[in-house]
Amino acid sequence: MVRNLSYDLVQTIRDEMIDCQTEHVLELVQKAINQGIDAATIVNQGLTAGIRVLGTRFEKGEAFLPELAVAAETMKQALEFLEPHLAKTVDEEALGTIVIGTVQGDIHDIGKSIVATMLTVAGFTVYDLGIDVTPMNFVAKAKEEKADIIAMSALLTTTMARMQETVDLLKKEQLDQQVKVMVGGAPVSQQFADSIGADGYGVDFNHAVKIAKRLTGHTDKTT
Amino acid sequence: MTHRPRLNLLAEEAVHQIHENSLILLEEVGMKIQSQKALTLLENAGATVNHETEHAFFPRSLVEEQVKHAPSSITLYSRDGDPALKLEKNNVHLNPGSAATHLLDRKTSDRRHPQVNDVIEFARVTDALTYIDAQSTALIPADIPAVLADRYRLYLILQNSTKPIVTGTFSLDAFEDMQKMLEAVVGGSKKLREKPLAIFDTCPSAPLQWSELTVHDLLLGAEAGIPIELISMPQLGATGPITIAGSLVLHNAESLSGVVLTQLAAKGAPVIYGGSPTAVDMQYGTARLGAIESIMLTCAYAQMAKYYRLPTHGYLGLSDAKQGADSQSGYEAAMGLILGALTGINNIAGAGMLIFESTQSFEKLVIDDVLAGMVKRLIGGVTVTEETLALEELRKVGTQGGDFLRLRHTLNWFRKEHFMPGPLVDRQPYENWFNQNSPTSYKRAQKRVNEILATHDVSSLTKAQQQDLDGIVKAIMKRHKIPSLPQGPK
Repeated sequence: MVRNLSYDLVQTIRDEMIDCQTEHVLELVQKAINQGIDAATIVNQGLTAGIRVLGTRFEKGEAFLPELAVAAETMKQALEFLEPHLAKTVDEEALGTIVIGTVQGDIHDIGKSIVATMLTVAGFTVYDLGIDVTPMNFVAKAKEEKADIIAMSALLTTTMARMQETVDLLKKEQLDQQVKVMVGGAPVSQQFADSIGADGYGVDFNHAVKIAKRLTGHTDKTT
Repeated sequence: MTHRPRLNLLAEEAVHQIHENSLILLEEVGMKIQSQKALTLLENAGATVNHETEHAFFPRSLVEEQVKHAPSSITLYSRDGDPALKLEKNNVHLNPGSAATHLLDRKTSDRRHPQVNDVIEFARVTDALTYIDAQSTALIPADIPAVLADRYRLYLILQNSTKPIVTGTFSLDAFEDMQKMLEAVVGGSKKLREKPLAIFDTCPSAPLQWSELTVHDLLLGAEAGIPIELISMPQLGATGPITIAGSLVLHNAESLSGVVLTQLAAKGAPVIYGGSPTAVDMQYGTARLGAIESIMLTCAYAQMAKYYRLPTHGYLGLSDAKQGADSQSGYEAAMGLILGALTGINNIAGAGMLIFESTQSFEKLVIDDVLAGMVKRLIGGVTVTEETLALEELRKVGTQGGDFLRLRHTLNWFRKEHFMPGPLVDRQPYENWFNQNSPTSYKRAQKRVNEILATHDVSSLTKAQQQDLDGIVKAIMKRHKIPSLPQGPK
């Protein structure tokens, strides 16, 4: 029997991804490239396939946030390594592109990071700009990556107001039709989201994924 | 290093005082024992005995000597012969509260008498639970002749669970029948002695009496090497002094007399120092089990048992609430389980039990499983090592507003450090809960019970085991002239 070695290797990447073996994954990805395996195959059938299995397990209550966070971090590092080998539109299965960050003046990272992880796991291409992100930076990155969504987080009632500025800037640049805005964070509510003209509000990270799917036209029956 | 938290309710000085007073009680007042066999054993060992009045006075030296012979560790095995309960030191294991005459119907929540099908379902749910380590013959089925209710529970549970079983009898010819059933499953009396699958509860009658039935079981169990659990049950203010210390002296004296009897029947016989103390409610006259004073007496006698280096048992995690998932059922159960676990009681019975030890609840049973998981986490203590102190991680994340969530340290430790109870404990955001029609604890518990019954498989007995077991039950039915029983042998 002739074994398909490249297939085995990609499968192993997927399995090690599920087991959150970051170092193994990075080694195997390098090995796969050396063997001439197509980078897109590594991403789609290895890395992404693995992270989606974790996502399904998470929904069933079998996997938890630390596993998703480590897997997302592994994904990020692997993609950095693979970037030179990848054409721009690598993931044909991606649900869309999202630029995410915590708004200017606010340094609360963790809630936003969880949402970013969950969106990655769900199948979006996510650009996490981190904390203290200005409206200008949100919009510039969204333009650069042809993003479908800008997702903003705030933990403080004082910084929440900054969300309005990004919405206004998008309108000013006439990007508000292409780029949807979703908001979240402890002080944010549906009412507030409506009042600033945001397109969606996520109650928590699970809900945020549903909203993102809805905004990109992927119907989620459970929404 | 992990420091295991411990509760010692009694000061060391008090332990000695209780011990001394118990010995005085046994020596001066003695026990009434309705068994000529037991009285003869005591007489031969140097006790003063009156066969006519069925009365024995225990010399201090007899008690102190015999207690030393009782083993400090008892292992119970699963139906498959694997070690399941290690009753020693400060290990904590749990099983459901036993012998309920009533059940809260799992569909209607009405209080009614249990039936054979309920016994089967209850055993299957208990079998599936992660933190409830053993079965008990928890329900008394009312749809079969009462004379066979004790034995028939065991017959049903042996077919529907592999966990060890805490049980007991209601009539004189039951022990030997039940012993035969156990032997049929494990493969003979020698194997049952080597790897006991069941514990038999025997209850002295407070104050200071042993009934014919209980001593009968106690002696047979000791001879067969089947672990005997002593369940002294003084009721504070009714069958025992109102003070916790006074009832503790009584409890300890009764329990020591039981230990002596087991050791005289068979030196080294496995015996567990247990109990089920209650407190009379001075308004309603009911026997409070969820009361803090009942719990305190249990923790105190367990400390006495540890003084004698005996395995321990307690009825804890019970509630006197009338529903399986209300606030009182939760806080009374939690108080008992936390305090019992901190005391290091080896065999804690009570999961599922409500209303003065009369009524079982499927919903409370699955909730208590989660509580059991929490208290087992509690006694796991705080692990302090270089790795858990996490200085490296604290340095790495530093002051730049980063987080620990994506660190491998978090991945490595979150399951070890944190007990995850699943959806029975509601930790979802408000909006999710609201959108699911605001499920109550009761609804969530009911859902869990239904899921278990729909999905949990229990391996069957082998054909040979089933045949032997059926043969024994058929003989019992014949002896009692009972032609058929629901779910009975064909």
